[in-house]
Amino acid sequence: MSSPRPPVIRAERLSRWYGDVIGLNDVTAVVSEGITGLVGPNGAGKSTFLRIVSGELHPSGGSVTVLGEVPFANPRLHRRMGYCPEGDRFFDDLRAEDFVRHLLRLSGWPRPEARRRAREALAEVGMDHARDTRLRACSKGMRQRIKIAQALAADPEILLLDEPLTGLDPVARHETIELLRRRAERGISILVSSHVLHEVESLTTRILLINRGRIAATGEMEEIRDLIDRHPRRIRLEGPEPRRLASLLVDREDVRSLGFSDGALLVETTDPEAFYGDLPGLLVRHGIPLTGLSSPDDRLQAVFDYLVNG
Amino acid sequence: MTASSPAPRPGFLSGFAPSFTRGLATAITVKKGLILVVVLAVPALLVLAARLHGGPRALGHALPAVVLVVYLQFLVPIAGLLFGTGVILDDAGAGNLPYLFTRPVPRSAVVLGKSLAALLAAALCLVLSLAVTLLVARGARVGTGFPGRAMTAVLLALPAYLAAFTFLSVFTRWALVAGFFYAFGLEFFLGMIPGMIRKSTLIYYARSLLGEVSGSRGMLRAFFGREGPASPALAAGVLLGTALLGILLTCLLVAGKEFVSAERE
Repeated sequence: MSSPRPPVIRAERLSRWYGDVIGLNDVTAVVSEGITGLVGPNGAGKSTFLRIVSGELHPSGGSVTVLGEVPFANPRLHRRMGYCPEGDRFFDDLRAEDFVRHLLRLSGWPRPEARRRAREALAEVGMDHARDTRLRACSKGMRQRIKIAQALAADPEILLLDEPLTGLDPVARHETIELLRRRAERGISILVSSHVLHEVESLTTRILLINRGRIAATGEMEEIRDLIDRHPRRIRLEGPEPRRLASLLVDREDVRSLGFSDGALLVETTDPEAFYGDLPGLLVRHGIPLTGLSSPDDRLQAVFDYLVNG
Repeated sequence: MTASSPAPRPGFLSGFAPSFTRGLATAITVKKGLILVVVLAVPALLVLAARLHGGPRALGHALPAVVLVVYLQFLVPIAGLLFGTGVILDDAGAGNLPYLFTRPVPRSAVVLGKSLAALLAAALCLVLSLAVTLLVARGARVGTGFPGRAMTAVLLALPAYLAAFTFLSVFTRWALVAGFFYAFGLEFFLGMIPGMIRKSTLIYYARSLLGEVSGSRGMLRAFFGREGPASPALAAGVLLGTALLGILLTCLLVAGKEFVSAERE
């Protein structure tokens, strides 16, 4: 049971159209303190959600508040917010340090303090060696880290990161994940989007699944797993007699399909709890040995596939 | 990161000053600035040609024509168009707006800072060019005070065009095309129609500021027709008013407008 946390972002019946195309469709969601993963495939509406939450876009319908404030063109809220947009093109002509410093100056920091913060932020993301490099000359991974640096530089209370790990090599990805965790431990709230599920899995257990502009599921991984239990679950049974085992399972009401893969039996059940409960007795009664049992659906990718694809 | 200083409470100036500085730096270094500098050399060369081939009398005809046609009809609108539309569209095209418009400062401060930087950069280019042209044409029989009036006309017409085109760029990313159509199509066409309608163009008031020019009376009469030029005070007022209204409306509109880039989910 997770402890109740105060909402940082509250969206109610939030919708957004781009002409005839729906970006977000009637989204109601609450994001609490800590790290929350906004997960969905490309085109799901993640960036649209973040752009509305950051105050870059108006909602077409519904409402959203961040730290209790309406975000669009709200300088009072933007003082407390760090935002890392998705786009890979920005301030091409500036050097890394000048870019971060310019945005800090626009946030009201005096010149010396802006310089100090820019250097510290770049060092924190491992880009202190690139502070004199023009952004157009940086690799995608470097630019990605520099973008994160500008979002962190003003010590915001809430951090909105749109696909921040895209383009990073494994080491940089690990370092960035650790960095975000450290920031979260210091009390900062982070909403991070990704279409790569294991990235989010390594950052947080709290997720918001979005697909085709709609929230498919939201909550802790455990809660999502409870949801998944109401969906068919695939179970892989390995043993020497998969066909005999299949003949015993074929008449069960909760078994939706049976198949064979690499000598193993693949069962799709609509009631995993009952299936797991009955399986040991069935195996003992008929003397069928089992060498392996696993569910490919226990990973977040499977949860995601279930919830977005039905 | 060490949080040694308390978080600032940025105001209008916090957004204005860095935007102005950066706007000035980018306005001077961008390609269009260089193109404009090359184009701005053309009037001086025209006047030089008149001086070398026609003498002082030809120069007296050439200089007003260059100021009227080349500067007021062509270079001022083109400078206003290039620098004015760039205030917002350059950052929109470069992907900078998501960063600029999520800063804790009013959007109008960013736009005003960039607009004034663009105006200053464009004005520097035009003043430099006109000064060189007038220097080359020294001794031309154009009546006393013409250089001052020419400079005034250029410096008052420029902010009007620049603000109008900046305002236009809030609505469409095709502002450069639309502005070009206005300055070199619609305004030219309206200026040819006899009667009051030509008074709805900026060029009418810009030209009015030149006053009587001994060498080009015929050309000015043809342009102003029976209505004649506006008084200098009215002309200056209309141009300044257009500039102020344009930038004010731009700031107001930008505060509530979103800029959706071509790339979106």
